[in-house]
Amino acid sequence: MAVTEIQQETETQIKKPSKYAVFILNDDYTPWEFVVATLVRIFSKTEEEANEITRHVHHGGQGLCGIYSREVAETKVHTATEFAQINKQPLRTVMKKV
Amino acid sequence: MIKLLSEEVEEIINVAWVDASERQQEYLLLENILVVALKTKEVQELMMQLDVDFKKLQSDLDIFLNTEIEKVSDSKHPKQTIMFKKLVQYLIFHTQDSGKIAQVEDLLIAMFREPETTCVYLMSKYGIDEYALKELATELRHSQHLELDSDDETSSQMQNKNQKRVKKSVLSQFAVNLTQLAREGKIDPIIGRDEEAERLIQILCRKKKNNALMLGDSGVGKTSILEKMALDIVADSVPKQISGYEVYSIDATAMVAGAKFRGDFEKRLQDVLKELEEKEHCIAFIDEFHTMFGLGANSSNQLDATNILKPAMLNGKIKIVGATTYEEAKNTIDKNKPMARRFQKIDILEPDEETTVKILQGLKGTFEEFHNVSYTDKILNQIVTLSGRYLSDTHFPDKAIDVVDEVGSIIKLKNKTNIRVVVKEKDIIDLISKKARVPVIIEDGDDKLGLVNLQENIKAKLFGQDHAVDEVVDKIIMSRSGLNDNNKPLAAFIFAGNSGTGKCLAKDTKVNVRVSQELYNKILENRKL
Repeated sequence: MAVTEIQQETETQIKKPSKYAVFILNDDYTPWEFVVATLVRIFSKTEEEANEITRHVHHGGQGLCGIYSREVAETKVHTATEFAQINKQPLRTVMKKV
Repeated sequence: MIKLLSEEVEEIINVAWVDASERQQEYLLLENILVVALKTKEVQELMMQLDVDFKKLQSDLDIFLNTEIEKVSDSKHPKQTIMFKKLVQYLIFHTQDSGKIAQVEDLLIAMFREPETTCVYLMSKYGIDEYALKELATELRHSQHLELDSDDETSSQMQNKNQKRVKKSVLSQFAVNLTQLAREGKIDPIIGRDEEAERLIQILCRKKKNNALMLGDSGVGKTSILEKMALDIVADSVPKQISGYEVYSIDATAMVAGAKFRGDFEKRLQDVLKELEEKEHCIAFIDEFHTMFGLGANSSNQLDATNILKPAMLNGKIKIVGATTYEEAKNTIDKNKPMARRFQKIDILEPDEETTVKILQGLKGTFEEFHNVSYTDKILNQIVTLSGRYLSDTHFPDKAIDVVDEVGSIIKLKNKTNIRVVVKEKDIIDLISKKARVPVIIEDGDDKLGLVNLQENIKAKLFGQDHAVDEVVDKIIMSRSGLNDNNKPLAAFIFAGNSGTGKCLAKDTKVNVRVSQELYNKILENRKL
């Protein structure tokens, strides 16, 4: 019994790392321009792409900024949140396992 | 400022940064660090010790970095990720904790802090795990201490190489290669036991269930049979089916010792079995086989060492020889039917006196050399007879060998010169008396017991019980004549009579005749009932 448990553990350990999707969440205070600026600066989007994503945020509640490895996703979320804080905006960025 | 990272680690990080910018990455990733680290000599050496194909690992990492990571056009300065910051932080904490500068192995270990990364995934895929790295790092630290002592480049390299070998072979850690010992002449010659050895070889050459269990009382030479086999294999006097085999004596205690976590022991055992299977032409000898029962198991499950052995034993890939005593077998193997059926039993009986004498003759050379004494054949005969008669709770040949060894040691201690001393009969008598706590009497014609005048002697002290004395003296003389069985007491008497008639006095007067007061009282009480 114990052996099978252990084996399962090791199997899960060497599973391929999962990807993470980073979303920007809608709020009622952050201006449109700031969301676009964040997307361009941090997520390397073009102006058009950024506007498209911001539209999603505004209408659908959240907008997908990209799918990254955990390391990158984590850092992007952190930078975006920091960027919002510095500029005194309540913009929230989150990551979700894909 | 105190240096926190070793030069190698700093160099790796710097080069990794360049690598990331060459790949036009936005961030400096842990995978960059690993791919660069794998190019350094230090890490390559580590990987070799862990038996990891680092070139493949490297190319896998390259593929990952080239295909799965976003490229940014204007990336002159890759940024640090949070994971990278954590990694460096961990290294610094580690340095402060341990007081040692963080080395490359610490860098690799630190990567395991973040399990959800491709570098950890790939490392695990190629068989590198955190524990193995930590173990290796610890080993390296220890060897570095040694290096500082010797301060000799070549010797330290040799040590590293040796350690590599030790690391790879669990077998050499937890088993003794008896054939190797035999080759080095470290096994004393074994005499006799030809039949049992032959039977053992017959069993080992079976197709399936080629496992033997040697059963015999302690000291009859179960271990010696395996040693004999090792000697025979080295001398190439065995059937060709098993010539060239290696005999490994598995040390169960060594496997248990230092098994810190649950499962450590089982892993070691499995590793040993695996290595034996891979090696082929191996015979695994497990002395005190009963200890395998319950080993590694906790109260809730039945998964003990024997159950790990079972599959290996049944498919015939490994030849296992166990040895245990009847007593222990009764409580363990006999109760475990599945185990019992995998074993062919060989009874190792106690050798008779004649064989024991032969064994002693074969062995005496080594003892003579060691103790600087010499044993004549007569003395050896004497030792066997006396130890057989007086040391009844142990078995031949062990008890006789014990006496040979101990008498040699006693004489060696007394001997102040360098001249070889011949062991005398008196030495043996003294020793056996001491060991058995019974005065030893040798019948050699002399009237040491005073048998001739026994009747008169007793009667001089004891009056009025002539008929009882006559009876007792008769019996003693009879038994001393050599007609009775040596294994039985000289004589047993019951003095029955009312209290105060002089039963105890009668007993006390018998010099050299031991009557158990307790037993005697008991019988007396029974009679009263």
